[in-house]
Amino acid sequence: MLLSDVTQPTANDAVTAQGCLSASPEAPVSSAVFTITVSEAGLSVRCPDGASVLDAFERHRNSLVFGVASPVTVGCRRGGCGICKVRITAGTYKTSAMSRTHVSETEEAAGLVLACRVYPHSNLVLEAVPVCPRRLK
Amino acid sequence: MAITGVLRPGFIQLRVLEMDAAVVHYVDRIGLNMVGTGPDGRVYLKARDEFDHHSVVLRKADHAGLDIFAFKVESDDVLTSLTARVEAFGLKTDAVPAGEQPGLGRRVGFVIPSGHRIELYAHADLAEQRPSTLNPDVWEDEPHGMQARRFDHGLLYGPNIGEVEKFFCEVLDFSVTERVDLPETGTLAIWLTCGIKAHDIAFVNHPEPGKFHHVAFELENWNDIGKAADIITRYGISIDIGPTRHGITRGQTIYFFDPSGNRTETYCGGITYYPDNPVRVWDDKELGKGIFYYERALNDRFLTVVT
Repeated sequence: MLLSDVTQPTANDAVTAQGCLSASPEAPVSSAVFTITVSEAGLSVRCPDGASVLDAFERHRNSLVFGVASPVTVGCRRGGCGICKVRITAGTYKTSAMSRTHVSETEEAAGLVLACRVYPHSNLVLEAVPVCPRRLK
Repeated sequence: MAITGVLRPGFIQLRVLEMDAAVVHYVDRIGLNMVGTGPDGRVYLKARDEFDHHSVVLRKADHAGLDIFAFKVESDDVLTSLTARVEAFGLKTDAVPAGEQPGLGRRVGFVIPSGHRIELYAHADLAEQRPSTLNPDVWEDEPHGMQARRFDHGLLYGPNIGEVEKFFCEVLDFSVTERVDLPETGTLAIWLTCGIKAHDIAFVNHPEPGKFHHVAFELENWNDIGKAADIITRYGISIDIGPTRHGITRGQTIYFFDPSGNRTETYCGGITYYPDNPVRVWDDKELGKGIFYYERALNDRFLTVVT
């Protein structure tokens, strides 16, 4: 599956992502491609149906667009570590299991989710949620 | 010196968000064998070159991470005497009856100052599927997946690393094989062994208690690490870093995440530690090389992402 940055629609198809797409648990997927916008960062990325929001950002980060910092940090990509937490402010999506250590049911209902466990059903608008940084002491 | 007292890491119990996906990861991909599913839904697994009943336990939960890191000890008498030493150190112990996990005898559990639950036990039934001992072949059933030979070690993140070091060395008779001591903040990490491996368990000082960095499974050689990398890409497994090598332990390695975000490692090589060896020490000047010998740079995800 190939993703490309909206600002570079054709240049990045050969770029190898260090991450990996995680197919939605509720296949089949369509050929639709949704746009995910991070308003405060002035950034939009494309996300094909069936890919997670984090997949879209990771492909964007790995593209050859220099100087654009991803607003979402890539951790385990599987809902366990909590480092890719975001707040969805517009759009529809489904989620798969994410660790309740990092996202309570109340938070999930309010749009606070882990980007790696979110699969868009429409265009989305989101904001990054600063995670209490884990640092070496 | 013969290995006495605590023999080795015995089993690890991990929390997973989805059991079916976890079983595919640990059995089909890493190459463990299914032992069975218990009445409470926990799944028991073992590696192909282990004799004991099981070495990995998966428990479905709503959050990922580590439940228990358990060591097998030499005998029931040793278990009794170690229990007294653990309590004398000031930790409260609890008794887990035989059979709470199938195939295991009684266990003694306690929470160490880093917030992790450690257990000790002396008895495990021999596994039905185990290496032969009379004119043994290199394997009984053809290995699959990454062909892991055994559960090797774990790395845990939590506070009070000085107390943890004191506990493992003074109470359980482990040795520190390598350490990272930073000039301004003190000990960052310790690698501990109860035998002659580079490590059986390791700790990184970290403000959140009870965190899990990774569980490692041993492969035969560097070529098998490459094959593990092929499997990781072929099946879209979430990669962390590798294939590469650590300066610390000198192990050759690849790290990747299970479907619940718990970090797993397949690993080979590493130093041999004898109890009269001096401790190897790393400081802030070459820490990048210590963590990843080829990249020679610190890696935020590897150092800070835990479950």
